[in-house]
Amino acid sequence: MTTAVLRPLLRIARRDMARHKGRTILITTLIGLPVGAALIVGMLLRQPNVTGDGVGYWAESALLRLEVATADAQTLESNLGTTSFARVDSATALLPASTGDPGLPGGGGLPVTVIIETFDPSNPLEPRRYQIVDGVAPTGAGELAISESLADLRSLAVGDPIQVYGLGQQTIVGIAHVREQHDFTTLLTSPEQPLPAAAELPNELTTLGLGYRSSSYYLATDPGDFGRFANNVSASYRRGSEPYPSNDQFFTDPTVIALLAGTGLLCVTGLIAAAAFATANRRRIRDFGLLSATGAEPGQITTLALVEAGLLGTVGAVIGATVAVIGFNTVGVGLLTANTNSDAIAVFAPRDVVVTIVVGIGAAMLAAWFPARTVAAVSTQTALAGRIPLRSPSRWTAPLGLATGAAGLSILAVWNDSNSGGDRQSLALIVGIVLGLGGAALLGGPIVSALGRLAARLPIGPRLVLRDNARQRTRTAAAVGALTAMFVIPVVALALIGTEQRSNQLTFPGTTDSSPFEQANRNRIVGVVLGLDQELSPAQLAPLDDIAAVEQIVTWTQLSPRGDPRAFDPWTGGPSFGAWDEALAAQLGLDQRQLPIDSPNELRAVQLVPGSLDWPPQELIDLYDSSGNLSVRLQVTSVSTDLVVEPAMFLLPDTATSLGLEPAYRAGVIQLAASPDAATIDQIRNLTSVTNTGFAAQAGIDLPPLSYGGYLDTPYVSSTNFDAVKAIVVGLAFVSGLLVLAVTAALVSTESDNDLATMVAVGGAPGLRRSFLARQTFSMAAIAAAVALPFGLLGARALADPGFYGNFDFTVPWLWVAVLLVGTPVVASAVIGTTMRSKAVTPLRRLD
Amino acid sequence: MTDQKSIVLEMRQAGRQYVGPRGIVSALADVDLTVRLGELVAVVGRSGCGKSTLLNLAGGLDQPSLGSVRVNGIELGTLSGKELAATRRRHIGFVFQALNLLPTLTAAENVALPLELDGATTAAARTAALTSMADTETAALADAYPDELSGGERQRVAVARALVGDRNLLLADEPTGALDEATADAVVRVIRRRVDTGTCGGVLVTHDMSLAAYADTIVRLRDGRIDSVTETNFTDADFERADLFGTDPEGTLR
Repeated sequence: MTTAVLRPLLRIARRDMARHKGRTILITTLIGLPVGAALIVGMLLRQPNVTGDGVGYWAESALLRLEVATADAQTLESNLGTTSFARVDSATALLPASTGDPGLPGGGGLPVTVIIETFDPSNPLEPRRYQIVDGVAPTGAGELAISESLADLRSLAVGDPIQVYGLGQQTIVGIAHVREQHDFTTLLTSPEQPLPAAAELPNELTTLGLGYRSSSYYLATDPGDFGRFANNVSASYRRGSEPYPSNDQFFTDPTVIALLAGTGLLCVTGLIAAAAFATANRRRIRDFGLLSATGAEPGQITTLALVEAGLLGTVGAVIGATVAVIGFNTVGVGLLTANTNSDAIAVFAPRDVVVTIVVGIGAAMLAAWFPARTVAAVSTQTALAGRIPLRSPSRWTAPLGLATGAAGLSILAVWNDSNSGGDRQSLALIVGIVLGLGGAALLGGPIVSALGRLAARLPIGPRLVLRDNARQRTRTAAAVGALTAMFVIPVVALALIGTEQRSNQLTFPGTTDSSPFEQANRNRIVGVVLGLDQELSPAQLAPLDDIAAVEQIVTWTQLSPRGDPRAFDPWTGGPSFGAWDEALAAQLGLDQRQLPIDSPNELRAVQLVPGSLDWPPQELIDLYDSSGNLSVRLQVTSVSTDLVVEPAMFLLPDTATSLGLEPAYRAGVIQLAASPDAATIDQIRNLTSVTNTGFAAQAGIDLPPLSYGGYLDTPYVSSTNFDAVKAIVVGLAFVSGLLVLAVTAALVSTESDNDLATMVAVGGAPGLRRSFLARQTFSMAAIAAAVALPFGLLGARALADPGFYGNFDFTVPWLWVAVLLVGTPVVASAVIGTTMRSKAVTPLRRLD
Repeated sequence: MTDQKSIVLEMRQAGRQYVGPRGIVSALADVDLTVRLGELVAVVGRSGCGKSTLLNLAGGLDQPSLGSVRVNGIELGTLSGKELAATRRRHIGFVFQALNLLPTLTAAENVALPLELDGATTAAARTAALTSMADTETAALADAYPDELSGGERQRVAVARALVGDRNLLLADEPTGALDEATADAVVRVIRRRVDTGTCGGVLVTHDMSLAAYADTIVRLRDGRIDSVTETNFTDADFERADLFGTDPEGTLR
C-alpha cells in the first residue's frame, strides 16, 4: 500500500477521532492508563531507596557498595554529595585496572574487585567449594586459579598473566567453578602463596552505601580518574540506571518488569478497547460500505481501522507516559520521600518510555484488528444496508478456549512442582498465566452465543438481553473476556491466601491469626548479622536502621580469626561451609519429614541469587552466646528467594581452628518465625556467634536430641492479617470490575439506543432502557463470574504450594469468593440501573 | 467496432440466485441490458422486483450466478474481490439514496476519495474532483462538510464523485428517494446532463416515472425479469413543457 493511499485513510481516521470524542477519550484512556502504570512501576523499581517494608530491597542495597581507591572522605563527599560512607582499612585482593596497560589480558576497563581464597586440595571440603574446570589447581606462589566469571569478564585464559594488587604478577593456571561464591570474581591461591597484609595494599578502600541496584564494584586507579569516575557513577545513580552492567537476571530488569506489568493491564483494557472498536465499527458500517462501493479494498478498510487505532494508541500512550513521568517525578517523588523515610529520586528512563509506548500502540492496534477484519469481510451491499451479518461462532472457539486454559493450568502446575527460580521458570509462570487467562477469556464468546440460542423460552426482558449479547458477540465476548480475567486473578489470590491461612493454622495449632503479639512478631527480623570485621559508622548503619523490623545489629568484631584487619564483604568476602552434606545429614539422623513441631525457632534460608544456592531445608543453626554456650537452635526450614539474605553459617573460632578451617563470616538475618517471647528476643539480641550443626557435630559438640528442633516455616503473608488481605483483594477486584462494567454499559447503551428507542416507540415502558442496561450488565458479569470460578480454583490449585510439612489443605474462602463473584454483578447492575437515564432519549439515528 | 467501444455496461443473460432455507431463490434472471456512453437507462419496478440486485451486479457489488456482466469490456463475474474493488474505483460510480458521503471528509475530499484510494496524489485528486464538481455545479461547495449541505447538494456531490476521473458508468440507486420533487428533478437533470456529455453512461433505479422519463430507455422489471423495454425519446422541449405544466414529459399530470 502506497503512501498516497494511506493519506486519505489517515485523514479519515484523524477526523473520525475528532468527530467521535467520546470514543477517542475512552480508547486513549484505556491505553494511557496501563502505559502510565507500567512506567510508574519501572520508576518505582529504579528507586534507590531502602524502606522498612522492602526487606528484599534492603538485601540488594547491601550490595550497594562502591569501592574506590585513593580517595578520601572529602573527595567523595564533594563528588557524590553524600556522607553515607565509611572508610575501610583494607579489603580482599584487587584486580587492578588494565586501562594503563592495554597489553594486559582483558583489554582494559574498570578494575575489578576480587575475592582471594586459599585453595587447599588436601582439604576434603574443598571440592565442594571449588571445582577446577580448566587447567590445574595452583600449587605455589605466582600461580592462580580464577573463577569462571572473572575469566569471562576479562577474557582471561589459562596461561595468561594477571596483575593483582598486593600479589604482583601472577600466572593463571586454572579456571574454577566457584560454587559457594556464586561464581563471583574470585582468585584461588595455593596455601603456599603469601597473602598481602592490609598494610601492603597500596590504596585505601572506601566503601559507600549508595543505594539500590548498584551491584558492581569499582576502583579508580588514581585520584585524577576518581573524580570523573565518581561523577559517572553519581550521574547513573541519579538517573536510576546501573552504573555498570551487572549479572542481573532478565526478570529483575525494571524495563522488563514494567513491560510485564503494562502488558498484563493492557490485556484487560485492550479487551475493553476491542469491544469499543467493535461497537464503533458497527455504528459506522454504512461508511465502510460506502468506502467499499467507492472502490476501497477490504485491506484498505482494515488499514483504515488500524491507522485509527494506531493514532488513538499513540495519543493515549504518549499522554499516559507524559502524565506518569511528570506526575511521578513531581508529586510521586515527594509522596515517596514523605512516606518511606528515604530520599526518592526523579527518574526518567527513556528505554522504559519507548518500550511501553510501543507496546501501548501495539495493543491498541491489536484491539482494533479483529473488529476491523470483521467489518472488512462484510459484503458491500450488506454494509450499505447497515447490517453486519450474524455469523455463527466458530465451533473451534470453545474447544480452543478449553485447550488453551488447560495448557495454561498444566504449565502452572508443572511450574509449581519444579519451581527453582530463574528466567525459564519465570517465563513459564508468565506463559501459564497468559494461557490460562486467555483460555478463560475465549470461552466468553461461545457461552454468549449459546445463551442467545437458549433465550427463546425466557420472558421478553432477559430474552432481549441475551439475544442482544449474542447479536453483538464481538463486543460482548470482549467485555466478558476482560471481566473473566479480572475475576480469575482475585479468585486465585483468595484461594491461595485461604490455603496459606489454613496451612498456617495446621502448622501452628496453638496460634491464632488474631493474636496481635504473634502476628506482630511473626516473620520479623530481630537481628542482622554482618560479616564485617570492622566497626560500622553511624552513616553505614543508617540504612539498616531504616528497616523498622531490625531491632539490633550485631557485628563480629571479636571473631577475627587471625587478628589482622580483614574486611569481608557480606556476600562474597568470606568462606562458607553451607553446602548440604547428605552423608552428614544421614550421620545426624536428620529426616526432614519426621521432626516434631514444637519449637518456635526457625531460620529461613534465603538465596541471594535465585536458583544458585541449593540450600537444604532442615539445616540446623545453633546460636551461641559470647561465652560459647548454646542458647538457641534454629532450623532452616525453607529456602526463599524473596527475602533478605543468605543464611549465616558460622563456626566458633575455636571450632574452626580445630577443624583447620577459617571461620565463615557471612551476612545473615535471623528471623523468628513464630511467637517469640520477650526473653527469646533478648536472648537473640545478645547472640554473638552462630555455628553450623554439621560442623559442630564434626567438632564433637554434643548436640541435644533433635526433638526440639522445629518446623517453623511460616508463610510470608502470615505476618499480615489474612482477612485484611482478602478484603483488599476483593475490594480492588470489585472496584476494577465496576469500572469495566461501567464502560461496557456505556458501550451497550451507545449501540442499543436505536433499538431501545424503537422499543419505547412500540410501547415499551419508560424504564425499559434502564432495566435493559442493568440486566445486560448483570448478564455479562455473571457469565464472566461463572467462567472465572472454575478457572480461578483450578489455577489456584495448580499454583498452591503443598508446603514442606505436609500440612496442606486446599482451602477456598467461599464467603469472599461469593462476595466477589455474586456481589459484583448484583452491585454493578444496581449501580447501572440507578445511574442510567430511565428512558431512551436518543432519537432514532438520522438516516443521513 | 466503434459501437462496441462505446458500450460501458453489457449484461447478457445475467442472473442472481441465492440459496435460502426454502431452496434456491432467483432474485434476477435472464437480464440483457446494454448501456452506452451518452445513454441513460432507467430501471423501474415494484419493491422486490430485482432493481437493486441488477444494480449490484452492474456495479460489481455482487457477482452473477448466471450469464455475464461486463463493464468497459471487463467481465466482472470472474474477478476477485480485490479486482472488483479496483474496477469500482476506476470505472464505476455509485449514487445511493442516502449516506453517500463520508461525514468526516469535505465535499471535495469525498469526490477525490476514489482517486486517492487508487494512488493519486492529493493535489491531482483534488483537481479532478473540482473539475467533476464543476460539472455538477457543486464546485462552490468543495470545502463544506456533508453536514453543512442540503440533501440535493449532497446528491449532486455524490454524482460528481461517481464520475470523477475516468469513471464512465454511473449507477444511481433511488438517488432522489429522500428528496422533495423539485430537488429530485434537479438532481436527475444533473445526471442527465453528465450523461449527455457523452463521456459516461448511466443506470438510474427509481420508482418515480416522471424521473425515469429523463432516461433514454426505461427497463421495467417484474419478478426478477425484464418485463418491458421502452425508448422514451423525449426532447428538452418536452421537459420544459412538463415543468411548465406540472406534468411528466408524456403530458400526464403529476
